Amino acid sequence: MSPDKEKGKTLIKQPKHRLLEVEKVPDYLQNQLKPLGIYEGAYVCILRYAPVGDPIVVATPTHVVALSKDIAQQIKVREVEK
Amino acid sequence: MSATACHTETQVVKGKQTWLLIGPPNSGKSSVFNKLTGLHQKASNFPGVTVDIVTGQLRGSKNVVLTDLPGVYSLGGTGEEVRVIKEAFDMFNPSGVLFILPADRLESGLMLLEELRKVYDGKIIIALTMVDLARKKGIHVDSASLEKMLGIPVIQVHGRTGQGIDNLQKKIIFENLPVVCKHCPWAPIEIASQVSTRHEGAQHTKLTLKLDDIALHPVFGYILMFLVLFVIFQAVFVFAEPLMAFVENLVLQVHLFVENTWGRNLITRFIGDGLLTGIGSVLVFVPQIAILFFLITLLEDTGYLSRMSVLSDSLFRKLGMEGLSIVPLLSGFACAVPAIMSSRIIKNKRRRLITMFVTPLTSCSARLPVYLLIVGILVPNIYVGPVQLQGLVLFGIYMVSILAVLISAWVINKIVPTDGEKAEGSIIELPDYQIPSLRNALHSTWLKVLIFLKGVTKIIVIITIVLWILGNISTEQIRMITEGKFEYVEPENVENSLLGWVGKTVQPLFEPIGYDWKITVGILSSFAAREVFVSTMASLYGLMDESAIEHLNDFLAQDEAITTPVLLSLLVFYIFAMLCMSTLAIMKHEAGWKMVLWEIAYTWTLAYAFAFIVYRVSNYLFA
Repeated sequence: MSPDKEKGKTLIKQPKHRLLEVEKVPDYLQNQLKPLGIYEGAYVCILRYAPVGDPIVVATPTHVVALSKDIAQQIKVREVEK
Repeated sequence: MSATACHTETQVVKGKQTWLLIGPPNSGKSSVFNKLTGLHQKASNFPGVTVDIVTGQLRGSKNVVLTDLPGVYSLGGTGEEVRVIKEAFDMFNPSGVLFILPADRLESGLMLLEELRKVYDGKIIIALTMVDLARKKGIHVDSASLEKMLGIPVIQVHGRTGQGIDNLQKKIIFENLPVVCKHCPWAPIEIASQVSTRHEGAQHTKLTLKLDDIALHPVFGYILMFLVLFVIFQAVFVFAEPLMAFVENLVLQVHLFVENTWGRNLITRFIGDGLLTGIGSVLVFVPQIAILFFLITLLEDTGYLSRMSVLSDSLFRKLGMEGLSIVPLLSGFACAVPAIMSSRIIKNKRRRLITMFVTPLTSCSARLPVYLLIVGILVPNIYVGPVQLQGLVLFGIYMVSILAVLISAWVINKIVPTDGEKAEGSIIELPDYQIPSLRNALHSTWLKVLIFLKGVTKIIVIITIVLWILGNISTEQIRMITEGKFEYVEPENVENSLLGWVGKTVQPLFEPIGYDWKITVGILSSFAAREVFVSTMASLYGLMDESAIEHLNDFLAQDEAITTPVLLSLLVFYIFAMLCMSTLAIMKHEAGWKMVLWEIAYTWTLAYAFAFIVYRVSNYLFA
């Protein structure tokens, strides 16, 4: 099953402004995403969806980044209990 | 780091120390560079890529040269910027690195520094920038603690006001700095958390969040974007016009001066019509390029360019391009030359090349005189209800051109391999909005103009001279030379020139799409500039003064060889074919000869195929 099909497991279709913990970033994306604050164990939240729902604007502790759907669907997250 | 010792002017100057400027994007690196070097800068392209390298002499020292390298988040990727940085170490053998560390993004900056330390064990100085912005976000950085923990000098600087620049300058020139410890253990995230305090959720200032509510709004966001694009288009199209007219007039005055001083003979004609026209053909693009890049730099510095990218990314990515492709594509409707150059804003090589490839299919303003000529003959000047029929057809032509761009990009995206890229997705950082620096924008514009002039002048001048020779040497002249007579005989008209001879010789190739030798010559002359087609045709019909050119459509309409199918075929040919030496020159400069050859092959095949279909079908319909 592709990551986007696992409901609630990736950055796709997550509710806005909810704290999410990054569980897994594909190896080939780590170089690009780690400096922007997206790495395993980091906390992120979705700020907004672009007008057509793609890209997805994500806030990390240090940056605000727009990720296209195909990138976002490869980042596994889990919702942090408040 | 591989040692590709490419010999460019960016190479180390003998006897001078070179310091490299490295830092993340949007960290104020270029502002610091500009303050440190003033106007003593040189811009050039790194071999094989469109990444700009700017070198400048450090103020207050004749022995230190600074080199501003592209901003990167990591040295681990395979992008052009990373390649340039890695090769710069081999190329320059630097005396030190000035590392730009943005205070509002300390963790990511320190991660980059950590990567740098693993591959470079020389001197490093840290310039801590964006301190005021960090404060606005509720982040405070203790630079003294940072210096102590890293064992590297840290100096707070302000790129716009110049605060701290003197200290930085003295540090580079006078201080005997220790080299960094390559093997000491570092933990960037921990160091960042120890030397800085921050409020939770302080990624953006309140102003940025408020502005983004508009800039990224599903409705107002697009309205704002189209307003901004409209201003850019207007500026490139309209504001540049008086400046271009000024350049043309200047070249004309020099031309007249040459002829008035030394008389009209073969040499002065060569200087005036060949050489000066060639130089004028280059200079005439400077206003458009300057205006376009000035506006792009302002947009980039404010942070709005990233928002534009977010808004249009989804559509363009499906076609193998990206959000920022909208800037070159729109500019292409004014002129393909600045448009192709502006595709430099697209960092991903594949997407940039696809954008560059389809840009000449946008209908530039130089095609308009040809469209007007053909539409003027084909379509009656009448109103159908409130709509002027010729205007409607012209609108249709532009729609065809847009469709050609979109379909071509889609097809190329499907055909061209992705070069090992695992995902075609985008990662776009949205920096805080900032007030742009006018000085920076002017600097950047000036450097882009220099890159353009250095890159295309030679090729455009050579092509202009070749076209001049073809148009001004008669076949009779060649016969005389072969008989040993060297007296110059001016061709009576284009028909008697070498260009006319070439046109007649290659005309059979254009026969299947309905063109006689005159139209063939017109097409060949279009390489100087597309609108030259009109003046060449006028010359071929014996209309020599400018007012007579207005009557060209009457002459064409009366010519039995110029039928409706021929005109339709010609119209289609001009929509698709790349027929402009300046576009060819800038594309060669930005992407190399291979790309130019593909471009010519693709657009000409497209043009010929559609012209053939249109000619045959309309011949059948109008028979």
